[in-house]
Amino acid sequence: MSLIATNTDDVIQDSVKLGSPLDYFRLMKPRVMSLVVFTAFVGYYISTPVSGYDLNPFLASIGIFAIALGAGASGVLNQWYDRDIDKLMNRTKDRPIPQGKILASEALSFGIIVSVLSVIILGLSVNWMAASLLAFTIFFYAVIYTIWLKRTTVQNIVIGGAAGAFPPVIGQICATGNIGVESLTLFLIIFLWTPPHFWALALIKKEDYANANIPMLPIIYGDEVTKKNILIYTLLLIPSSFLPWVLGYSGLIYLVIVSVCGLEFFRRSLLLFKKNNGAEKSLFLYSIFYLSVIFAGICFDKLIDMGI
Amino acid sequence: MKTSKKDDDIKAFYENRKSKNIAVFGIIIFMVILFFFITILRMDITG
Repeated sequence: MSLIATNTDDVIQDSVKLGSPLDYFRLMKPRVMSLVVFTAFVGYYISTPVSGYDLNPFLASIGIFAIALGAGASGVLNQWYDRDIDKLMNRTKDRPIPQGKILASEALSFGIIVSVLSVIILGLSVNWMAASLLAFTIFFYAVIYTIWLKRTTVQNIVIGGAAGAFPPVIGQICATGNIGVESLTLFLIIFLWTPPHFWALALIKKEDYANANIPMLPIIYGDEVTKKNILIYTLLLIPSSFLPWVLGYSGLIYLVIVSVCGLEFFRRSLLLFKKNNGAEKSLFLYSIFYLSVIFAGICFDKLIDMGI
Repeated sequence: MKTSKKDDDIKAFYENRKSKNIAVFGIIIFMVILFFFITILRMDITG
């Protein structure tokens, strides 16, 4: 009897702590969601208009909303699984689960329900091929990256980076019903952009990752190897960023943007490689700017091309 | 004092449960409207 009473008290105590809608929104990693929505939109936008495949703009908007939900759901599942290490890291200790604002079981239920809903909404509103790829992306991020790779290999963010690179492909499937070379080049750009971005962050937050025992490159092989790898991936990223122009679906405006931004990316990577203190933070912030600007550049170029 | 804290917890529990139920109800209504619009728009495309 006393056991039941204690459990009831626990239930009441736990329920009192249940998070606000804002906590649930934070659980969905809104900054990552916004980047996913943006890149998916670019994948969609560069593929339109398509003859013989007329997607209602309202349905397309619902599709983008579903992709945002899917990205949020995978963020929730990531935070549910990483709740033990999140509380050990300064960068993540303020997240809703380590803060005790949302119960782990609530987060898991929420993540699964939103994942399923996002796939169903995308399938019904746009097409089931896009929905299948969204489902695979959620699986890739939550299971392949979060559960399997993140704590076991130093190549975690290299392979896991594919999860963040799928949204433009989903966007193109929404627009055309097929995968085309345009979205595959965007996939490649994001895939090659991810290692310099996250390794710069790992250099800044090295102690955090070490406390949580996550095998990031600076912890396993040290700063010098990390900086060298950042430079290598930068040298792969910059020529790849020219592909939209090489393949002819972006014009001179994009060429100018990517040339200027690519040179600056290279300069900052080189500065970091030459043992410049503080350059990792500068590179990390610039990498976000770089991806946003070149993707915006692709859209802007197309707007001009269409005579707007 | 202990009873008062427990009463407060119980009150907060019911308030939380109520707001959570309202949120779930809102989401269900939103989904119904969303799926209604998806159906109508898809019919326009295929029909």
